Amino acid sequence: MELTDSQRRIVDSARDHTLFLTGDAGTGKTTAAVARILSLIEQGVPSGEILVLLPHAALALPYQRALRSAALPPGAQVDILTFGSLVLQTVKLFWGLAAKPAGFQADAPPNFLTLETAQYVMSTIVDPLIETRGYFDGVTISRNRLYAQIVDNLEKAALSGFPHTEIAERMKNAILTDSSGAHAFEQAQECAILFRDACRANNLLDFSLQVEVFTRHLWTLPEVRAYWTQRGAQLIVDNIEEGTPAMHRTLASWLPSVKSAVLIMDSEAGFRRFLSASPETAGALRDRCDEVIEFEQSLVMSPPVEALGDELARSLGEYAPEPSADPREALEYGLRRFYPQMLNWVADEITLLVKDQGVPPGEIVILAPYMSDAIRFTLMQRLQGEGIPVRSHRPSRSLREEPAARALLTLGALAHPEWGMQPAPFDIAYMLMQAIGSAGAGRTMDLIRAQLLAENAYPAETKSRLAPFETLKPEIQERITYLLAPRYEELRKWIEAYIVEREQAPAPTPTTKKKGRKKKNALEESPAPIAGVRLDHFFSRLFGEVLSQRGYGFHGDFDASTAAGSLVESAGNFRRAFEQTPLIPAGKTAAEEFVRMVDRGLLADQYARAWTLNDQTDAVLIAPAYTFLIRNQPVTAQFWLDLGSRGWFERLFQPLTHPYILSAIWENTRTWTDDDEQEARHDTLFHLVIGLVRRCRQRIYFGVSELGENGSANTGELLQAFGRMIARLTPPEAANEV
Amino acid sequence: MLPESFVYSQTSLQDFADCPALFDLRWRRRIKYPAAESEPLELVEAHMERGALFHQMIHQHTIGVPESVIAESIDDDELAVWWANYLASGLRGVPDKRYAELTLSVPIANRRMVAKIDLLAFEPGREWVILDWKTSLRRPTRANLMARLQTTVYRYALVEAGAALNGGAAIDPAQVKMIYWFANFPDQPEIFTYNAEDHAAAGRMLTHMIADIEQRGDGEFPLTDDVRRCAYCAYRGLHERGTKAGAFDAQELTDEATEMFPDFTLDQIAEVAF
Amino acid sequence: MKFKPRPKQAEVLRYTGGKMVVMAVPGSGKTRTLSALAAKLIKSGAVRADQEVLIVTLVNSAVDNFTRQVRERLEEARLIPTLGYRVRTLHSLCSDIVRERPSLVGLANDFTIVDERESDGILEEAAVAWLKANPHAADEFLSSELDDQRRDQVLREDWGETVIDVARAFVRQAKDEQLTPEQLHEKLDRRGRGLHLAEMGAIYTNYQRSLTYRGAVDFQDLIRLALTALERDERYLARLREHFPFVLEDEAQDSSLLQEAILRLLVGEKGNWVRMGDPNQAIYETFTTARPENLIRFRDSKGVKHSDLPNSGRSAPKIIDVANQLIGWTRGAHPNPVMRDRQPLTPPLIEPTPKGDPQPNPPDSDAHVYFAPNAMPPAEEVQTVIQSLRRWLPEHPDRTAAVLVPSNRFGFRVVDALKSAKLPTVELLRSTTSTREAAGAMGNILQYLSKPTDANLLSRVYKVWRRDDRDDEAAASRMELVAAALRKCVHVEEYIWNTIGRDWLDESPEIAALEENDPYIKGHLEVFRVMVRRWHEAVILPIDQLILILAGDLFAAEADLAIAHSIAVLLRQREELHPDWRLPQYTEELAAIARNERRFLGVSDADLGFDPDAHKGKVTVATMHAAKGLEWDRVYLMSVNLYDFPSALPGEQYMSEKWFIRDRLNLEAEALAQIRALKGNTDYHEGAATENARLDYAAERLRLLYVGITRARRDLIVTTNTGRNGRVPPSAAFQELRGYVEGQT
Repeated sequence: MELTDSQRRIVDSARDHTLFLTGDAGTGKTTAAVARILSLIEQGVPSGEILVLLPHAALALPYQRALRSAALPPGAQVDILTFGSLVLQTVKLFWGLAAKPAGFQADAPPNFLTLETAQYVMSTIVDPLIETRGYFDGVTISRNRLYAQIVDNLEKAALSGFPHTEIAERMKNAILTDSSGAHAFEQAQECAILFRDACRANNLLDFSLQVEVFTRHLWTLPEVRAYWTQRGAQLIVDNIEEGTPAMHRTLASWLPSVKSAVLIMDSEAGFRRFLSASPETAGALRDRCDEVIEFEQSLVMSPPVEALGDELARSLGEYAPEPSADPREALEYGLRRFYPQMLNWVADEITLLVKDQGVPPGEIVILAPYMSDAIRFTLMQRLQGEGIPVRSHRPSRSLREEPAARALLTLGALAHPEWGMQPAPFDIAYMLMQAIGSAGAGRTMDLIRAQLLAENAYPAETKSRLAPFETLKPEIQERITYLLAPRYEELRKWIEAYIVEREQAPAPTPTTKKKGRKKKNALEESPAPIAGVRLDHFFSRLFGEVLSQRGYGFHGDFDASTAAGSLVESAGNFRRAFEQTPLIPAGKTAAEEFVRMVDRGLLADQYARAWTLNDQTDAVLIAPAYTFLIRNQPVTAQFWLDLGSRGWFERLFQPLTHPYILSAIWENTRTWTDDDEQEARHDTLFHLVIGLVRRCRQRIYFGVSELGENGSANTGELLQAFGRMIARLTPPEAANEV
Repeated sequence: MLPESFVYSQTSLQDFADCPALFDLRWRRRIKYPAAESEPLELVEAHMERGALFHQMIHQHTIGVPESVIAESIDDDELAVWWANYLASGLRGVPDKRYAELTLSVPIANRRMVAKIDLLAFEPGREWVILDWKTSLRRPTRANLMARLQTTVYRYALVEAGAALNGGAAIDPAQVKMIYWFANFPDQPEIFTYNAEDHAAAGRMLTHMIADIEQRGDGEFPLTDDVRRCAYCAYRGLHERGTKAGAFDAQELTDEATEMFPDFTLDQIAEVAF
Repeated sequence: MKFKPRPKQAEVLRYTGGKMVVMAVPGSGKTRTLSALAAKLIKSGAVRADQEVLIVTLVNSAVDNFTRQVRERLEEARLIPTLGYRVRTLHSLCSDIVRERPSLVGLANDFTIVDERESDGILEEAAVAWLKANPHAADEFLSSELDDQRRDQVLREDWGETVIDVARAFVRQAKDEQLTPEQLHEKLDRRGRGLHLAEMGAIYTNYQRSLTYRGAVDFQDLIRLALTALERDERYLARLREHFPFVLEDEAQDSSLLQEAILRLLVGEKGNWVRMGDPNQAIYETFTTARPENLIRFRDSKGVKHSDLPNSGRSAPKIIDVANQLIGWTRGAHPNPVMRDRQPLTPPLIEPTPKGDPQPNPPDSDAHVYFAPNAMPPAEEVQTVIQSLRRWLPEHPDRTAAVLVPSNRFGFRVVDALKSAKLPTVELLRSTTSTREAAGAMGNILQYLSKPTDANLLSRVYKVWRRDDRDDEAAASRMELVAAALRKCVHVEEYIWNTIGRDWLDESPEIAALEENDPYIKGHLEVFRVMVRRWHEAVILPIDQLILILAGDLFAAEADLAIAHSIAVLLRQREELHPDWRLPQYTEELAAIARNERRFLGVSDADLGFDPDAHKGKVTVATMHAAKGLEWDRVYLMSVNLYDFPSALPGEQYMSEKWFIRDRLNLEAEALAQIRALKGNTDYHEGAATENARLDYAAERLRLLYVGITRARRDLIVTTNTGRNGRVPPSAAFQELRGYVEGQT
């Protein structure tokens, strides 16, 4: 690939030099960094010394592509790490050195919590306080959100570098509230502290503790420094503006010992402020580098797109130079009354683009600030109906929403009557449809027969046991058909056998919790295999021995099996994290707690299909605007939906947390006023709009509907700015025709 | 179609060699099929965890975490035995320049192939030793190990990547050897040497194999004829080759460290629904 | 359409700033004048590009009306028709204020607003819990005259309902008074015992906690929190003041104290505020803090300009006379002296339009006013009206008519009777709309899907699918035949999921019979089968996807698809609030939308803006409340008896005074009085509130009658009935006006 002169400078810069590279999105910074990596290897730099460090995984794609190409010379693999994985690897490897000073038990391994398992721990602390002492009466918020925010606050403190005991004070000082609001801050603080204590006592590390252990106890050790200095002697750090103060501090102390480094900063970004991204502390790294280079010229935008960006900026009240091209060449818009009409317009335009103009589907993206499942579903159906490949990034979806996972959970409840969770007859019917299959007449369990079977084989009297087929009335048997009977019977008998086996197995010996526990030799150990419930194992067996077999619904249904896989993983993670801890309430098992958590929507299908997005590239992308932005991949055409939405400029408001007040740059004496809010909001909108435009090569399509998705009219600031722009660009006569 | 960013490894190649259909499902189409692979799962899991821990301890040992600190984390008898065995004989006679958990990445047949080496011990100009820790309950035969693609892929990758590890000079295949060291059989390591002829043959074989995979389309990945394997395969239900998982203690090798647990490159923080 | 203001309207349009009250009579063109004023302010440049005129009105339909009219004015002026103004109801304004800065009041930005139905459900749960915990609470209140048997019966059947009613009023009032559950408890504790009704505060606590747990607020909270937000951050308030340089308020007579406080804050001391209203049409005051006197007091305060719109071109002069007579009688001759002092109705009187007005009043020559000579039993009253309509409707195909009743319940009876008399009827009791139809269609299908073995339900689904056939006689008869055949398909699976060799389509004698006349019937039913199968398979999907799939098969019109989309989004939110919901609950939810029990926010225009003139030659049935703002050529006012329109004199019966409560206390009113006593630290005297509630109610009902009368353009027919017990006399106003009309002729 041809490089520009400024990109050449990055590639050719000395191998014992630190560079600070800055510029807007689309000016070729990442391309230059990739070229530099290739050049380093070609010059004989050991590839094992090159490390690419990123604030988050979504940015890895361009590096992955380059480093996985056959054109790269052989050698040790160039590692791409996120700051989070660097922290995690360090804590894992050097645990023994940090455990004691950080207040953990050194003789037991660390147990790393995911966001979800951390929320479970938080629930064990928060719930009793709510129920017995009326905590959090003063804030209107669902439980799941409550847990998430307190966990989040701990992360903010760790990443921004202030003591986690200071959270409430900061919030109280800055937020205008009354005494009940102030109480809520104090209560959240108390819960945060209790959470920390519980984690320490059980060797559990949520992300905030990983960061604290890393920054306070490990990064200071010579062994740790030596290890990373060797692995990252030649350092490339991209999108540092999306990084956290903890990452920036780590870099500041790392830089003096590297051979070379390139720190890359997108000058108008910092989109993940709500995850403690800190463009300010990123910018401060500039002074620690030997040389600063700025890229100015966009390699992405056509002149009309650039002009359109300027027009939008002007409409938002920002300064912009006089356009040198006609922005209208880069602008299309559809004005419709109803939302679905607007979606149709989008689908029609995309069909034209792909079929008549030959634009590759992967060069098209559909964006909205929030992407409801209804929009996603409608657009995917429309486009797939036209034969256009389409992909969608779904942040994460609650496990209980997956029909396949729900079917397994129903079976889990049936197989463990001691939990006393009697599934509803509807759930039994749907389970039967899913488990015995639902495609094709006659051969599999359809809704009618499933319902008949559920009504007759699962009457209230049986207390959550399925009745044998032969005990049903002959007429019912005939209606369900004898073809389906054996499959039902096999499934039922498998569960019965499981129940009986567990009833007969010796009661599980209570595991001694924590300290002093010594696992016995594996071969001597041989516990009664099914005595204690391991739900993930239960699912695996049931899946392998029955549900994945011919004649059953998961057989060859890969969406269902994938959902089942996620459930198994999630159940396993949950069990391994908590089985041995006193956090599971007395008399309950981790399995039951897991099912309860899924029911409450606390556990989501986090990893499912994450890869499809990376791999299937030639498909129209439907994504929330920020997701598209932080993936950092320019496209030819963008469709913006829902211009009237508040989501374009509004941060996520949560009553117990605050991205600015709990950040590294906040002065802990100020009040957060409406002026601050306005400024933050304007910046958000401006940066978002400009960030999107800079990732567009040819054309932006604006989809406007008078009535928004929920049927009411929206008039957010972007829509107003858009209206002003159109009024300026089109003479009144033309505007009337629209 | 294989994803653009797909990278071959000994695991995926071994899958193809064992059963093309397995390769297709697991790597080409990435189908999750969460059936138990061997039983009893409780023991399998404990064994896997122990194996992973053992690998990590050696990693820690190599990068300078004090032995006393490492030893403190041992909380079960079997692991203690393995650790003692390792300290006593695991590194016997190998050079003292070392890389632990080293991933090599080499181009081949328009793709890349990686080899994640447990420990590379070397003395430039003299000797390059690949050490692989095995914690399986049974000790596989030499013939079995010889036939495993790991033996081929690791030695091949090391020689190919040689220049990048050896200050720009190529590694002489004759200076390479691979040692399988068995935690349960510490005194019976299996050693494979290497030479230029082997290397050329390995290159031909791997190139051919990858080219073969690449040119296959949907429906061109047949099932293995060796039905005994199917008991240990999660997809057996799909192919109507059995219901129950195979017995764990009859299994010769398990990949305790590689690709068992999800690697944490994914962000811990879920994207908030914007 | 060009708007040519009358002289009095032009006077209002000369407004350029400051505070002003405009008292407007029914039919005086409030909406047109106020929207013309908004457009004028925008055109004049008094509103910068980044500012908006704020128009606040009472109900959603009015929002639509205002928007349309301002837009027309701006289009005429060749301005961008969507910029420069914002029309809101109080609720949507408060929602805007809170949504802009949710964290100021302890909310997340995706907080949910529960509608009345949902909040009623939560309240009921809380009340039931309270009843369980307080089994002897009734002792204090039940009448001592009840024998044990009656007492048990009351406890079983009536007491719970009463508690819920009291609690509902209680919670609303507490919120209006800005009293949190904790503050209430504190005050109660300090006061000691004695206020037994206020002890129902425990229900309030529970209710509020349930909302909090759901991350939700109710409509009252929204208003309360909006006020809090404005008070809390002065910079925010300053920004909003800057943003809304003019506030135009419609229906100001119905403003509650909170609404007035919010607008007062938004306007600021030196701001610009036009309040337009008609104290005589204040009909939403029961158990609120709204009082028509508030507007009058504001009008008379210092620095406030005052203007009237007394001219109305709506009604014939003789109808105007009746309305004016009602005002005069109320002030001068009402049988209850206390009522006379209260002045429930006040001037200005209605004046016909001046000569040359583009909208002259209908001539008296073409108008009729008629008061029924005596009170009839209710059924007879209904039949009398039907007889009258049966004669009148065919003779006046291009005129409009309405029957206005005091209550929904009575309205349903009238509708049933009209329908069985086969008169063309339009139901506006709770509006009939496409949203309801779309929701109803999907509700029917969900109901079937939750009981897929039921042939009757399947048959109904078929009729939903073929609903357009109803308009074509041949198609309609085929639809009925097929539907009948489907009802006979007992083993539904043999049709929908037929197995090899077993297909109901081939085996059913009904289908074979149909096939003789209709060779395509099997093909037709196979198409239906394929579609139903698709729906069957979709039941395990998330509810929003299921709805969208159904909509794709059922609807073609864009508006219907849009409604379906909104419903999908709504049900998805329900799913998040109620993870345990299955198809029956969603069916019920759709049914509630179809019955219009849910205030379904959104899908505005299809649902709103009822236009009587679109129903010529038919009769509309509505409550007098719902008729506000509308007009018809002929209007029947029914049930104008002393029960529905009392005089607040001894011996009358009141709905809120239950027979089983001691001293016939109005517990709702007493509860509110106790809250006020707590809040203001004043004394509480039992019974005073009951007495006062009677007066308030009687006054409001007089205004309601006034509203009813002023709906008529040409013909006004007023009837009364003897009530359920057959002994209720006509209301005093009825007798007075009947006498007045008779005296005129």
